[in-house]
Amino acid sequence: MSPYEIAAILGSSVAIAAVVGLLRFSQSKQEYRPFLFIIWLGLLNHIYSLISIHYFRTNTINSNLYVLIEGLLYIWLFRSWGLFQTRKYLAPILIGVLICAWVMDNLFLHTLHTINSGYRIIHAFVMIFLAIEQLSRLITLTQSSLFRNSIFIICCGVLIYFTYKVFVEVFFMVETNASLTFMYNIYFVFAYINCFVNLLFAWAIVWIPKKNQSIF
Amino acid sequence: MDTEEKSVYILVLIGAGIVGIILLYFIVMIIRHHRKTSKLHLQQVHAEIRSLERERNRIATDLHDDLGPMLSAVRLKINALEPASKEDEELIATVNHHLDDSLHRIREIAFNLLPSTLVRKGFVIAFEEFLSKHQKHLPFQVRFLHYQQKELDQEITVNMYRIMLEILHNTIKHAKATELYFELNITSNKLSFRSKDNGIGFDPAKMKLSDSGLGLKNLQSRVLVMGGTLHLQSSPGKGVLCFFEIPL
Repeated sequence: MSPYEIAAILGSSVAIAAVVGLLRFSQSKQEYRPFLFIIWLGLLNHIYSLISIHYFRTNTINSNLYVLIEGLLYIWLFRSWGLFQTRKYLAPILIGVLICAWVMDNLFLHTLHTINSGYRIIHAFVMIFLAIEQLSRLITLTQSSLFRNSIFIICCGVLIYFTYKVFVEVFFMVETNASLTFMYNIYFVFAYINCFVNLLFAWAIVWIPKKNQSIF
Repeated sequence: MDTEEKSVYILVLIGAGIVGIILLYFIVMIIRHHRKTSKLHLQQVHAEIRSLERERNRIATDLHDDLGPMLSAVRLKINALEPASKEDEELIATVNHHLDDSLHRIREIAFNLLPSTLVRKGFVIAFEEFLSKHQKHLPFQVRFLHYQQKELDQEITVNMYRIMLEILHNTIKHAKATELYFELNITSNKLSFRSKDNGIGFDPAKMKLSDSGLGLKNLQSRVLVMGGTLHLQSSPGKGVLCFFEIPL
């Protein structure tokens, strides 16, 4: 199997989380819905990427659009978890930052036909910052076990995924004379992380609280 | 990849590994910190509830053993007086009446603070006694189904009694219910509790955001110190369902 095929199979692990999400959607609490949309969007993007690569040898346009929508959905998710409750101005600022960065990177500095790492790095840093904020809130507000707390599991997944995302994207951003095989191998490491995080997300969906289950 | 790229790739893998270790360490630290905070919180709640109960106990004992006999002695002394006139006789009767009321009220307050039945016979009988005393004043019908296989220790007894009274008071104050059910099942290894009313209910999301709901927080604290987790299900117009399990 080629590295691309292995990466494609590993990426398909998002389908597990998507199916679990589908089964749990009607029972799940309103504030977790954006996360399920992120997972389904991820699956949709993965399928579209496979088709697009098969026919057009590229998936840049849908990937560039996907990262923007994903970023906005994550901000919606953190907002519905109450992260911006005391600093309501932060959500519109972060949305503004993400949109501006995306427009600059994809429309002015580069085009939609290239993989643009600038926006992806900013996006990843915003997600890491939000995940850490949410985790620090969780420690003081939650008394029950963290292993069964879907917010904790999701934040850990976000932290791991986007830290490695920054790590990988830096290689793509800094233009080196590295060979294509080298860059493939760098991306290959990320494919395993992506698979691990997808499984973590599936586990998180299992623990999403049911509607009206408990107010504590 | 040429040799130089290979060595860079190995460096990248080492870097990725280091990042992974740092992330893992961070997550483990969060979990450890959370456990420590939870433990401290539990100890704090425990201490608060204990001191509250101790204080209630002390006040109830003082009222019952100190003030009660003192008032009884005053009544005896007054009754020993020989009235010189009709007015004096009426005055003594009025004072006697007031003293009786005060004694009755002291007994009532002492009972509410810590019913003697609760200590002697457990919370099931104490709660049944409470219901039989107050059922006619309640705006709804209360049903209490229970099965008890094992005697409970003093702390759980007091906590369970307070929880049931809190639910009763919350239902009186907010629910506009016509029926309230309590179900209690005490087996050799666990205590299962469930209460349900048919009142107006509430929106849990709004309740979570608001600063009110001190009664609910008390319920949660008492369940927490007994080692359980309180679950409350409610939505507008659908009453309130409360349940928890305590390992024994």
